Amino acid sequence: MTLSTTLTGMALGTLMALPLGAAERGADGEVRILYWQSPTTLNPYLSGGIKDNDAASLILEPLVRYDPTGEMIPWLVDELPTLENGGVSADQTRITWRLKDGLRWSDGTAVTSADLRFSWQYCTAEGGGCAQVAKFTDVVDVETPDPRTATVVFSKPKPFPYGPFVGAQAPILQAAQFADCLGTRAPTCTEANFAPIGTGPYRVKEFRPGDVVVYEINPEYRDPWKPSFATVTIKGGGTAEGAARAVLETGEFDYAWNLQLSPDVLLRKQARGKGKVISAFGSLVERIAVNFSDPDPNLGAARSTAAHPNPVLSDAAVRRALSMALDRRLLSEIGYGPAGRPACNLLPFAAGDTDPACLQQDLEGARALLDQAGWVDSDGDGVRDKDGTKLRLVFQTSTNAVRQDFQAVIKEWWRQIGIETELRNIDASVFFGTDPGSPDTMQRFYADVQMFAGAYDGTDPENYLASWTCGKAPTPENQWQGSNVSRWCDPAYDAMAAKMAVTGGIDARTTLAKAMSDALVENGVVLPLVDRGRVSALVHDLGGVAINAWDSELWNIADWHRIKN
Amino acid sequence: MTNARRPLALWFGAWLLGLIVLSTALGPMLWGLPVDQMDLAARNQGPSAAHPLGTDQLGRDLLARVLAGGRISLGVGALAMLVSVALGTAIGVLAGMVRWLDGPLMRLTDLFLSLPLLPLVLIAITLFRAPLSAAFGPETSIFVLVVTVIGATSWMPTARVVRGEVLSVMGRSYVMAARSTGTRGVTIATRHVLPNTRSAIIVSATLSVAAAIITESTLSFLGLGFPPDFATWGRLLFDGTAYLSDYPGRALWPGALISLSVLAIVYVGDGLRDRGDPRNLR
Repeated sequence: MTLSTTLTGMALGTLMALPLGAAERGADGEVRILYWQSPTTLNPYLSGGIKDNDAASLILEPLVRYDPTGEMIPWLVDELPTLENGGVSADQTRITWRLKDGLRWSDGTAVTSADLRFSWQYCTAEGGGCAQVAKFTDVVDVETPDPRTATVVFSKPKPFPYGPFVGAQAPILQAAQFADCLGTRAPTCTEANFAPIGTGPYRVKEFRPGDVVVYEINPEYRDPWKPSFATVTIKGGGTAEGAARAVLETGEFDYAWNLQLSPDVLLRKQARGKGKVISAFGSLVERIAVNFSDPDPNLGAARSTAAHPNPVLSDAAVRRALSMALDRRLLSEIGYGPAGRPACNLLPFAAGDTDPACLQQDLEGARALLDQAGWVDSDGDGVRDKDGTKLRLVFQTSTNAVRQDFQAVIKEWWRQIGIETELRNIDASVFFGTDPGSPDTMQRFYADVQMFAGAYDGTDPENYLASWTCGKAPTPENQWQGSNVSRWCDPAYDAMAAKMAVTGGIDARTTLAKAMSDALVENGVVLPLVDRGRVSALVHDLGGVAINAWDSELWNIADWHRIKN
Repeated sequence: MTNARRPLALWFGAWLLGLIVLSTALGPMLWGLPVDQMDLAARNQGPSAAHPLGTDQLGRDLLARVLAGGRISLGVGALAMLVSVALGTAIGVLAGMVRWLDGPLMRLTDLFLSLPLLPLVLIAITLFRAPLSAAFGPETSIFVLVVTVIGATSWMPTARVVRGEVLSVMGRSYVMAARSTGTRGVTIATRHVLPNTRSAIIVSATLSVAAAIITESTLSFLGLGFPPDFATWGRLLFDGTAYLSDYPGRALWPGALISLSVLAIVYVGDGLRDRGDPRNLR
């Protein structure tokens, strides 16, 4: 958290400092970026790959981007349309965008609302195989009352209307360039797909798919002072390890993307002094889910169903004690290093108001809580019991080196507060598989607690939070399909979820989302452990970088510059 | 020609095996550090006086874990060998001595030989883990399961070798003489057949100990078998591979011990066969 705030701070600082330094457009020469997965197209509508979307984001831009904290910032518009400013209609079926004045494509022609309408048609055309079609769900029309104004019309009320033209996956294409590329012809327009005309700071100079992209400055870019680098080279291919070496050890490249390496490898490479490791946090949280139903094998078909409450974990005091006994800082450090930060909350934008007590391991407090609740070690075997039930848990997760370490450490902490834990690990393809016949899936949840990571796709947490409502519990009747693996059921929570589905307005939704997330954590339905992020590396003299897990990592490349000293 | 070297192989094998068995049996008593004791401040440490093999990623002493792991791995090997040799010998002797059983039993052997064993073992573990776990507790149940499963799927070579030996013994004149005097089949088996097939059985036994140790390691290596916090050589090897480039010792020690034990057992088996072979005495 502190790292990304400092980075944002740095980025803002450089933004303000830049005009003073009077850096000229293109004064800093070349910046070399290494993506160990190579871009194969520059049209994000034809590829779901992050590498392709990132490489295209230098050229093609959406109306609104997400900043590193997940907030929306107007990009090609002056103002974000909301219910409050009238940009979103009162019945929440229409959102009206107004383009910035004087926007031009890199070929010199004006950007108009017709391009927006075309981009929607392009992605939803029959047979086009658009990878981002989910962004345009329920859109029935894009009206163009004048060249700068476009109204997206939805078939039903959309409390969160920011799907189309928001974020790196749904940018605007030039209608003139792609006019003949609709539907099944989309993949055949190689020239357009490999060198799209855009509004971003750069345009393609050379593109060899699967190898390298060379960019030069877009002469029509709207800010006369930017970008600082005259050319950008994105080299693709190799391994994460090689990419880390090229930036941190040899300095051949300025920036390396997505370094999925173990914490000590990264830190050792960073110690060579050429560069530093930076991380961005999205919504991926490693957590322990608690089973509210009884997984006792003797129950047969009724095993792990809501009909039989869990004999141990139905007690809120036990769930609270389990959480108090965790040292989240240590878990994050041993498991993820720079790619993790301790998490007390499911929503990253709520990380700011975390209860500091949650970060502190409190074994004494946990023991006292269990004592009060009547769980005492009556027979002296080190395991607490109450009314003849022992505090014994089965703890399952997928087979993965970091998860098994977490299991071992957590088992030890729980042992210290008098809880005995049996560990199980299941092959990931089985555990996360959805085979209703397998007894070992996370939906079946034939254990008391289980650990996995979950995330939402980065725009709005409505569906994500709705996954803990009563109706979403996996049961034999629905073939064990369902996202509420804890089988937790609280009418108050369901009411909040129902309210979320009809609430418009960004602030109101944020407040409600936080309340829902707090309800999950306070009731001990999930024990968040570690917020897992994405890690990249850059050399020390590359400035302006603000790594972003919500949008393209290269979203603000116009602000990148060489630090001189 | 090689007679001079062969006793050496036997002695070397026996000595090495004895050393490994003794140290894993007594080691945990002599080396006082508990297997699961974590010291999160001393993670990933190199060899030192306090930790001769260093510590793992959670600060657990690697020597203590390797010693404890050996107990399980060798225990599984020995018990699975007993199961497999008992089954194999019984089937081999029956097939060799009872003519009408020969065909069906050998086809059964062929059937088992043609089954892909690893998937079979995986299915057995998935099916029987939960009921056994309820009966014996998690660790004992998986021990019983692994031993039974390995034993029940590795008896075929023993059965075949024993049957061959039995057939050749049954053709000897003293067996015919015993038969003609009306000696019962069981007596012939215990008095004449088994003593004469002893060396073949011993060799298969040693080979199946080695195979069982390797199968157990494979299961643990695949993340199946014993619970993740339960140290066995295969499990340690599996955990160690994640750190192979940084801390090779983590995987090398358990790996070397698996190899050395198997090597020692094979040497012992080899030497015993040579000793038991009357033609060698000349």
